Amino acid sequence: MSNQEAFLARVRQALQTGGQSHHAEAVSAENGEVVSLVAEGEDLAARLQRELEGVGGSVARVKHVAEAAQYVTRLAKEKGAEVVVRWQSDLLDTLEIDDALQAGGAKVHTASPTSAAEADNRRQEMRDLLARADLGLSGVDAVIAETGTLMLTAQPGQMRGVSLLPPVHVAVARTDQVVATFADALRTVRQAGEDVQQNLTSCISFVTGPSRTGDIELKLTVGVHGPGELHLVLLDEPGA
Amino acid sequence: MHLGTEGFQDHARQALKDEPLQNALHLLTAEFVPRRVAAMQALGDPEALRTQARAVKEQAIAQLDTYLEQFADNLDKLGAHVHWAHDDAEARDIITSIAQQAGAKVIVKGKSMAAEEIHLNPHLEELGYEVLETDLGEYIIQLAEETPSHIIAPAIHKTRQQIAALLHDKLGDPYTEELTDMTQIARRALRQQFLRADVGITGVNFAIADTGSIVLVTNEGNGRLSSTLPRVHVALMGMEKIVPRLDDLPVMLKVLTNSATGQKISSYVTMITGPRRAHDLDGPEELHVVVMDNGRSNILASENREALYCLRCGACLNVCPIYQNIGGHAYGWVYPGPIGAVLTPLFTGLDTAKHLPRASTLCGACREACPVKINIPHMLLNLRRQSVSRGDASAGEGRLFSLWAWVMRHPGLYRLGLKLARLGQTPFARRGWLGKLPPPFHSWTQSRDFKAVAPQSFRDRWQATLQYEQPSRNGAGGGRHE
Repeated sequence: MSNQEAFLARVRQALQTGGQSHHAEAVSAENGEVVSLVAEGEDLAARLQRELEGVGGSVARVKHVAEAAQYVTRLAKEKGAEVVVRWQSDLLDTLEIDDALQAGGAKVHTASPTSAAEADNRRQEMRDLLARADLGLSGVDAVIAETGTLMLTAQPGQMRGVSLLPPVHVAVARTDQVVATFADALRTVRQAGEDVQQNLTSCISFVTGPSRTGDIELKLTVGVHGPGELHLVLLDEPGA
Repeated sequence: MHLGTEGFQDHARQALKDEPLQNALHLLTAEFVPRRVAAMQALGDPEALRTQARAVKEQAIAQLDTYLEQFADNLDKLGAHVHWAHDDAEARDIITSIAQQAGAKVIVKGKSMAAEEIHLNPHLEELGYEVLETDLGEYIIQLAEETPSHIIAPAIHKTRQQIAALLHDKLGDPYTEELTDMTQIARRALRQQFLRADVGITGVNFAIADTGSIVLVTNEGNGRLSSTLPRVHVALMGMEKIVPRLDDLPVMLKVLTNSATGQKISSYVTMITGPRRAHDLDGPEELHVVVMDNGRSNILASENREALYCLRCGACLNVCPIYQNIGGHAYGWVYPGPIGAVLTPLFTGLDTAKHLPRASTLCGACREACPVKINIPHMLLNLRRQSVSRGDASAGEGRLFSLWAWVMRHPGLYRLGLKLARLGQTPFARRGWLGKLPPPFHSWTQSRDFKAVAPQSFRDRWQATLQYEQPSRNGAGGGRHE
């Protein structure tokens, strides 16, 4: 096997050999600034809704926590959901939705944060649950208006599989979580603290609409591996 | 199994007669080309974006050693394993030993051109592993025991009916031509495998040096599943996948998805930074990143360095008049189309791939479509020059071109030649084209037509126009070029 030094030595050698005719100017830090397609003062929530609906997602604008809970409950009932797995987050907790979902016939399982040792014990159980879950309920870490994209970070309480394995994914977000662009969403990660690597967590998923494929005759079909349905519930209540 | 690059001319001829393939190629051109053009135009200033994206790749490649080291250091800090593979055999061995140590039986794979490049599947299958392609197109191709024909749409050469029959035969589900049902059949079959798999192998779209993150861009979610469910995740990347900073990601992502499929962003963009943390309830316990050279340092040292800027978006395939007519398989190796005609000889040598750089009209559509403005025609010419200096051109061809160059340097002779050609071509010209010429010109018209000499040359028409217009221009002589 090659080791790192030998590998990089070859790269260095190659760079010197081919070096004369090539020169790259240092890219300024501002290079990361991509021209935003979101206009100054544009209604971000409206833009988000248009973009997400444009790629086959559904968006429900609600005014109150209670309305959000009602919406999710009704949806779960419509889908005949029997097993629901959800994130644990402050926003989802304020919905107080578990009882309503159970009353509607769904069993709710929460991916609550645990100690490292406890996590080892719970992984298999949560995986089995997710494998047969009918609906995954998550919050978001940010929502990107320009493309209608949910940013979901993996961390305690926030399993990756909730937005991936069940056929239906429902996400609840507050309007103040909506940012204009992808670069803005990355900035919220940076602002969360000094150590960017730590803030990135093990996985950040950017989700834009349902799982889709065009692999058969280039015709669009949804739900091939990930959820076939994506519903975003956007809560207008400030500070909720 | 790949066709091999040596028989390119035969493969191309066969492809032209393959009706299902021709239909698929028309579909591809009709769908992808306008989609990409519209998407790029909607970006406001696509030119500025391409310039930015190119600058990122230029910088990444110019200081590749530094960024690779930074990337590896960061992965190390995160508890991920970094492996260095000098060539394809080493890459296969590394992945095999990871699978062995994991005690793996079932391996799921996300779409990866790098894995295709090292023929990973047949190798692992020979060793007794059950390897499953999970991208729907790749899965179909695997069921059919074929190879992908397009970077983005691997099964583009197969019709819906062919695929329906394949799913029915191989999986035993009732025959259906309903796309939704077909997709669900594949979903169920593959989901079971995802849950059984011990190892997930994916490619890498971007490797971010300053955070140690790898980014996967997919639409189906198979990349997410492959990197979430199995206990061990192996990410295989060509060493050129590096971008310097997390802040470079927005621009790179934008040019990639808009160029590949005309999407503003793909359904899933997954940024993986290390293996799962101790508190995480899912995600792989081990993350292995295999960084592969496999000929790339030779490209880096060559005059064709910018071939390493390629993002594998496939935009140059869709706009290429050659690809549009012969499809991907005829190129005989992993990377088809204009960029394939450059990469294949660079990776595998001109010995077997000398035909590929000639499979281009040099129209430049590829360069215009490229999100990082790679000058593909220029590299094709570099390779042709190399090929000729190795003696790949026949002596006759050499003499003809020397004669041509000599005539071009003598305007009187050139004009005389034109006149003679105009007379000489009359028996062969059909609607302005010469389809069949006698020796020594026949070797050209065996595989392509030649434009007939026009009844009046541009120069003659130009002169006539000037004489007609000059009096009204006060003798300013506008338009006469030095």
